[in-house]
Amino acid sequence: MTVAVLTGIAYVLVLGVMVGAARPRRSSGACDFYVAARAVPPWWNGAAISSEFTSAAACLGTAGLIATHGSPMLWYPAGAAAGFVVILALVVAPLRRSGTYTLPDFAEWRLRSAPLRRFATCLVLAVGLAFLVAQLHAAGVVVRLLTGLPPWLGWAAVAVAALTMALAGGLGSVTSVQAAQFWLKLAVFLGVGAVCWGMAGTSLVTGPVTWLEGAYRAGGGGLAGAGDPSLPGVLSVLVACALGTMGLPHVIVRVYTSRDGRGARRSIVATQVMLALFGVVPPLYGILGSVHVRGAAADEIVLLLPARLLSGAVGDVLTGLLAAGAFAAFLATSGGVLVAVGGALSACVPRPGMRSFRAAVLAVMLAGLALTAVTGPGVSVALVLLGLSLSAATFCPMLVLGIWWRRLTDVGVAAGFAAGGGVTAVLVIAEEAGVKTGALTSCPAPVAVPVSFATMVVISLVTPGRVPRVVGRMMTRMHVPEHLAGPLTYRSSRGADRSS
Amino acid sequence: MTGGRRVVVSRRPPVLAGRGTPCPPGDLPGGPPGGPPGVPAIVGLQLRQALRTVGAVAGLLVGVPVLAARVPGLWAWVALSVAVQCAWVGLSLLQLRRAERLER
Repeated sequence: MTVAVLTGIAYVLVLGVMVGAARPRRSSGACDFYVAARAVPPWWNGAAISSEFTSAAACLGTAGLIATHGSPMLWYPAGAAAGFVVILALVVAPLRRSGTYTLPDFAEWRLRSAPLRRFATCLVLAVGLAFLVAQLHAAGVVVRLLTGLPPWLGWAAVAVAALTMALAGGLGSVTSVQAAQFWLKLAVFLGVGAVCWGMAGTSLVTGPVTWLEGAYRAGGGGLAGAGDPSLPGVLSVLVACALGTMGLPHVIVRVYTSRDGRGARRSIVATQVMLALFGVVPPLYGILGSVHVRGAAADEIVLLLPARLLSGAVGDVLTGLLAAGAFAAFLATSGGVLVAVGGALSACVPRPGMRSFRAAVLAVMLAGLALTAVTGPGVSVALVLLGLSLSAATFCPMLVLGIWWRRLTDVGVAAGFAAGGGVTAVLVIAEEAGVKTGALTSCPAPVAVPVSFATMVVISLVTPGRVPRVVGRMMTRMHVPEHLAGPLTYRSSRGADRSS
Repeated sequence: MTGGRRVVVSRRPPVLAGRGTPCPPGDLPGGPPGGPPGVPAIVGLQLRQALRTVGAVAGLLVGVPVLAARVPGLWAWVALSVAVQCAWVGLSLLQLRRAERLER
């Protein structure tokens, strides 16, 4: 099995590096590096978004949770996909028309505050690192479980490949790799799943799937409420997913790679279609895993399934294919996070450019590796949920109010960041320390999001003097479609329009 | 002033507010010349449409798991979870079509 697994992993890593390295000749400026020259077509962009969103948590973690925690986990993929409908309705076109590059850029542009930009950058770093560490840990699990080699080899493999892609050509490179890898992942997971289903399907339909009866159960969740099988616990997680997706730095940076607001909307619709296709994967593996892989950790169940159903070379080859698909997921998400967070960090230096971008990308990866080394491998879904909860409690209110409400102020947003982020941190730490406050707070979003919204609104109302003078022009630029706007109200995004 | 021939304007130029008619720079449908006053109307229309979609998402996101509690049975839950994914695609297409129609 080791040979098949290592071959699969090596194939994906080499393919990723080759596709990524083919791009740099076309990357000539900061715009190319940060947002792929804003020329990614909707279907290509949709595949890239789907690829980085279907990370370790979607490929391995959710199916594992379905198998270990029961049928209530079936709603997790549905909640994750719901976030894109919310993005489409509330955020995508205005955000693209703003002409900025990243979430901190938007914060500074909309509220005219450099300190707020730095605050937003810290939050982007926290959310991005949660996703990055989840990918690195999952890579370590795959390598240790299937080959017996030390986990750090998995971290190192993902780190080197993702760094090569990001440093070579920025988001252009990463986009090419992600879009190609989405189809690879979909084909591998659906194909292997279909073979496994064919081997075990009859016994599943006719035999008892006792663990997976359709019912909620009492029981606590893990970090950020992951795996809580009670109805309130599931609903809390769904809220975090639906509202947190809009603040994920590696997802939202894709909005800026579209040509215009119309292209950005179509990218999100394409993403929705592709996520619906991929949405079959977690239930498929979860149901199979609940019957045929008992007693394994959540992130391991998908990987162990083919060998349990098919002995010999066929099982080894299918396991190798799954390992390749899993590494495609880790690489796509890690590359996206590196570029998005690196782009946000590098803009904080006095003279941002490609050199600072590359230094920031390297620093983010080193921080991710350090955090991976000092933490234990848990369930990947939990870390992803932590990132989603923090994003929902901070960036969601900023984006929604910043796009639709003229009276938002920088002080209000800073206070909302502190309140939402603070409540999230307190609830997560309390839960980890053993203080049980109920299912609705095991995932902090249902409490932290309203607190953050309320804080931003109240503080903005009491600081009316800090509303930017040009807020009318900003609203015009964000909401008036390109073809109706004149040169005074809309400036297409070219060159160095970072925070104009 | 420049010695050119004076032209008498006998009627006002047509109002450029028809569907699909491009506006001059700064002017927006639904608002007086000069632009900005038309923007709140556009924002209001867009916001109403967005809130309708978000409301539908919230209803499905909470409603389906709650309703599922009354339908015990693994395969019913699996079918519902797949159906919800299809509902998201349908809602996205609807939102896209309506948002683009509003902006035409």
